[in-house]
Amino acid sequence: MNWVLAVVIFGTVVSMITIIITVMEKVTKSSLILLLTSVCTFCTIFSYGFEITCGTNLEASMIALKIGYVFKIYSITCLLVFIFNYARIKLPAWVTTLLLIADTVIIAGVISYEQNGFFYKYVELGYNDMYYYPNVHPGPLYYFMLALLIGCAIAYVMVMIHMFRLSKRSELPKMILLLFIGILPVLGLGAYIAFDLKGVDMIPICLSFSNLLLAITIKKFKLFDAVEAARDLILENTREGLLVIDNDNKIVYVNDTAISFIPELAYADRVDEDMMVLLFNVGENVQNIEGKHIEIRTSNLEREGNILGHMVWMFDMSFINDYTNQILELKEDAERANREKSIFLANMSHEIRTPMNAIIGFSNLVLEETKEKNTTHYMNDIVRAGNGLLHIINKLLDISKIESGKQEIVHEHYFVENLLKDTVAINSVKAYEKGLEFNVEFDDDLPYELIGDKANIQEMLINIIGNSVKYTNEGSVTLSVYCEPVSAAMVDIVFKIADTGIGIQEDDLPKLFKKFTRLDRDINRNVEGTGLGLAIVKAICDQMDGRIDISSHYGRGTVVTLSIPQEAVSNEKMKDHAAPIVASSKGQYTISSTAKVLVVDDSEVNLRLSIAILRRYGIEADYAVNGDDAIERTNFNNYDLILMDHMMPGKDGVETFHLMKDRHTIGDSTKVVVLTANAVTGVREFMMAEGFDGYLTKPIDTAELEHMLIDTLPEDKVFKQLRNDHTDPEEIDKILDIQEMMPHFDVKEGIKYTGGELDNYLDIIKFMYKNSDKNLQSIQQFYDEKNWEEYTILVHALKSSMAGMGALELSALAKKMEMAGKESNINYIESNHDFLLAMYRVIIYEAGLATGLIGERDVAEVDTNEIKVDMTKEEILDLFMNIRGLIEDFQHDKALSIISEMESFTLEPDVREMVDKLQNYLEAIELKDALDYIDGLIK
Amino acid sequence: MLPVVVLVDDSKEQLEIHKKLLEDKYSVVCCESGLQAILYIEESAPAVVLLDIEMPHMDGFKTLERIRQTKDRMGIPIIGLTGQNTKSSVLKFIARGGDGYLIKPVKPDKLISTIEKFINHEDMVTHDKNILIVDDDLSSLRITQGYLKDLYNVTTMCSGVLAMEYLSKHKPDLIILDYKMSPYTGISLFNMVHKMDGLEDVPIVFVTGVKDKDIIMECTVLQPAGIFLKPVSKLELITKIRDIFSERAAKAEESIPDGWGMF
Repeated sequence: MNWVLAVVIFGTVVSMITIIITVMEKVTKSSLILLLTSVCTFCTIFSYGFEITCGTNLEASMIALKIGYVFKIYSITCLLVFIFNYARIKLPAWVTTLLLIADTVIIAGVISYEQNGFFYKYVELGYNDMYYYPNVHPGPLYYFMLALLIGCAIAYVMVMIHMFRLSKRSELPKMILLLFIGILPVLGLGAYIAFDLKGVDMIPICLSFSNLLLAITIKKFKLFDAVEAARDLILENTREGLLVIDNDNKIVYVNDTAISFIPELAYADRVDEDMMVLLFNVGENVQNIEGKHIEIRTSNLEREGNILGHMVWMFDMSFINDYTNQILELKEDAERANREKSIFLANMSHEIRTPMNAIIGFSNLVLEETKEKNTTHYMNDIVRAGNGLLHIINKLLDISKIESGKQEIVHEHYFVENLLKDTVAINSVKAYEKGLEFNVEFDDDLPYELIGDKANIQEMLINIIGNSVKYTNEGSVTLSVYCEPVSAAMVDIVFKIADTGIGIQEDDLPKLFKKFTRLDRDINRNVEGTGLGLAIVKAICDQMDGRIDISSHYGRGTVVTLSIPQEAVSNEKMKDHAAPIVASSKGQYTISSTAKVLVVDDSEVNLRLSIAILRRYGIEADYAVNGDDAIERTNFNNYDLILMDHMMPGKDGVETFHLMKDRHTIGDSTKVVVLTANAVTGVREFMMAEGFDGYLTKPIDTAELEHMLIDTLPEDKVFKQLRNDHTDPEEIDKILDIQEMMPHFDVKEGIKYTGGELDNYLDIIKFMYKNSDKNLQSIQQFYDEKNWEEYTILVHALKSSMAGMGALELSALAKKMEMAGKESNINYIESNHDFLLAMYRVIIYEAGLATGLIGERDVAEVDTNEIKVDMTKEEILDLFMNIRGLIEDFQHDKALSIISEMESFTLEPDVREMVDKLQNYLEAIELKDALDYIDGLIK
Repeated sequence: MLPVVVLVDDSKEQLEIHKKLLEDKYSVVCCESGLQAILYIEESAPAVVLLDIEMPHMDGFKTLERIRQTKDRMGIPIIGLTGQNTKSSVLKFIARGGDGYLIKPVKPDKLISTIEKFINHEDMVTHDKNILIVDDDLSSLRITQGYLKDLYNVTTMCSGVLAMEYLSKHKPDLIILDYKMSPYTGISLFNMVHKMDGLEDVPIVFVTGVKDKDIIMECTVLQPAGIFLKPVSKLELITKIRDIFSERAAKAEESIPDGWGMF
């Protein structure tokens, strides 16, 4: 046995072991290649073994050699491929192809050397003291093979160097081993040539040792550990794209996913400028690449402070696009639906208001005409419900108008004084009805005139103050108004509304301005409303670029601060002009007028309505049903005021108005106010631009109408009475004295209706005293004659005149007599006639007393105690006791019908109050309160 | 057989006058005192009683009370008669249980029309059915009451609490419940009523202003006698109530066992 053979056998065994070890490792590309290498190595060694044990049989050993070469060449190629793969460096396809071709050529050469002598020129038998071997004399192809081998070795080494640089310190031993594995064969070759080792082919021998080292490396350094395999798996199969480049932008590694995102990466070996910009754009890490929504994250690859390269992760976020698009679509749908609804509602404004006008108007008409108790009751309920409905509809239409964008803020001149006066007038009533104080304070230097949208400011104030009143059960509501300059041309007008109401909890504050939300607490349970008020305020406020602020103390009160920028007109202050506003007035006007008024409307219903309303102010209006008719009328009459409906067939309101002006049938002294059911903004400006003196919406609001009448009717034909308490103490004393002498008069009322002055009043009383005898006699005469028609006429007149003088009880009785007369309820008249006249006599007597005229005539002393009442206080209390029993037994409806019977009775005022109060309790079915009330009275 | 009218008055002239006016159409019985009247009425029930309120000894009030306390005479219509100067007593009379009043001097046609009105009531058998309406909205309450008050005895309640108090002492023949009330909802009231002794079989009709499928389902599950949506049609309501009552009457007849006569 020679040592070479020993080595060969050793090598064979080692190769076998290596194969086994490799096979047991996890299957990866690298391990497969290595397996191939090991197999080839094994075959190489095995063949070489044969080669040197053929003895003198040269042919046989050459066959072994040829076979060995095949495996030898492929071993080396495989080793090279392995290391490239292990280092994750892509071998370009052409290189691999070339290598294989070269290998094939070499093998072909080896196999056919006898024919062509390319590889070996010739071969002879050789002996090296150990064994016989083929002594080869190399041909050109042989040297080619050598060159190839060396080339491979160099390539191998270079790869190793590359791996050195990228690997951790701890991996160094592994790297060194790998290095040796690769270059050992070449070193062997070098040794063979240098030391002229005859017949000892070093390559197989070195390959065996390589294999040994390989086995050690695999085992000791876990060449193919699971982590690596996993790493491979992950990196190749992950859905994220991974690209690793070195400092020269050369691609170190790129996985398939990255290639699917950026196809250029498949064949590029470096990342070009454009792509660098694309990938490393610091600002925008989201790219739209070929329609896909790709997010890119980059980071540096560092080792011990040195940057080795960069890593680029690419995430496919295209799914987000889908979601985003869906959401956008849905949002648009919702917004569109909301807009359409708002537009629809805004357009419906007219359609909705018209029938509402009919309901409310007709109900009021019926109320005026009916005398039936039940009918009145029912109609009152209808009117109340109708008004409530109108209120809600108005709020809904308002908010729709704002939302649909139709609400425009106007810029008109207005006087701050008017704004305040109107606000006080409109809002104080509700407060007083609830028993609350309504206080108004304002700054001294409020400007006189401003430019803005007075109507909408008022709208906001009505809503806010309305809310305050609604949620305040006792105490006060205070409105403070002041001004803050903003710039030369602009001021902020600030309204602060403070109440002592139930307040708002802190967490509820943000919800306040949301639509349709009312804070649902127990204390709010009995409050009616739509939940739209504050939303409307906020919407208008935003449109005006204003600010609104709410602060509150739950249980103690709320303060709302509304600040609106307005354009200033001049430096004039409000206080410099005209009368100061009576701050704490229960300020309400009642007016009566002798002005001549024409109402123009194509709808008979509306005509009747308007005329009936005007009649309340003492105005008997003329009417016309169309434009031509109206023009005719103005031909023959001089009107102080014309109320012109706009929407009419034939000539509309505007046209009619212009014609009147053109034909001079109306002059400058005739004011024309246009009426329309169309409450959309823009109409008002249009109308004012056409030259109208005023504008009213239907259904006609009485307060608005009153203001309009006050503004447009000639001063000398209007009588205004402010319900003010006379502040003059002397006057007060006089009034009290007079009142004492006239217990059956309400002197204050009388003064109100006769111009507001005590002296005027007394004049009228004097007049009545002097001329009433005749009236008394006439009434009695018609009664005796049973001339009920004339009787009723006189009684009707008595009703009005007595009311005008404050003789309310007599007036009420006269009214009942009048109704009875109209119904031909003779029974009633006969029952009460004596009482009526008795009371009339008392009135006349008291009038005489108060004006000092008693004594000028003979008047029988009338004992005022003689006035008959239908039930005395004792009788009422007695009745109440019985009624109490009914209530306890839940027969409150029967009790109510008994009390209703008493409506036609004549009762002393305080008794009447008792009955009314009990009636209220029973109507509201507040049984406990009713019982308590009765018990309280009986004590 | 002419309907019997009892006239009670301490003035013989009054009795004569009224009797003359009425004897064509009615069988008139005259009593000169309250005591007489009571004795007569205990014997046989008249159709109507015309009672003078101001009488010596036993005045109209006492007489009224006694009649009302008499067995089987509670439903007889009693009309009070009073003079001009004592209008107040008339209301007291009604409060005490009188059914109507006339003020002297009475015109003949008025006298007859009043008596007619009360006699005809007898035929309206349904008028002694009691219906309880519970609704916290006063308008709705009044409207329903308005629909039904001519046909039935209607009691109105505006809250669940009051209704329960009432029901602890009375048993109505039908209950009309509003769905949306507080603090007790219609549903909880429904359940409470049916759990009360003696009230388990009282028919209950729901009325709701909310046209919501879920609410209707909630109501239907309880198997009420009926469900109505506001605004309620008078015709529909009255028809339904009539049906309910006639159904009950039919059932009641069926359920009387034959062996009853044994007891």
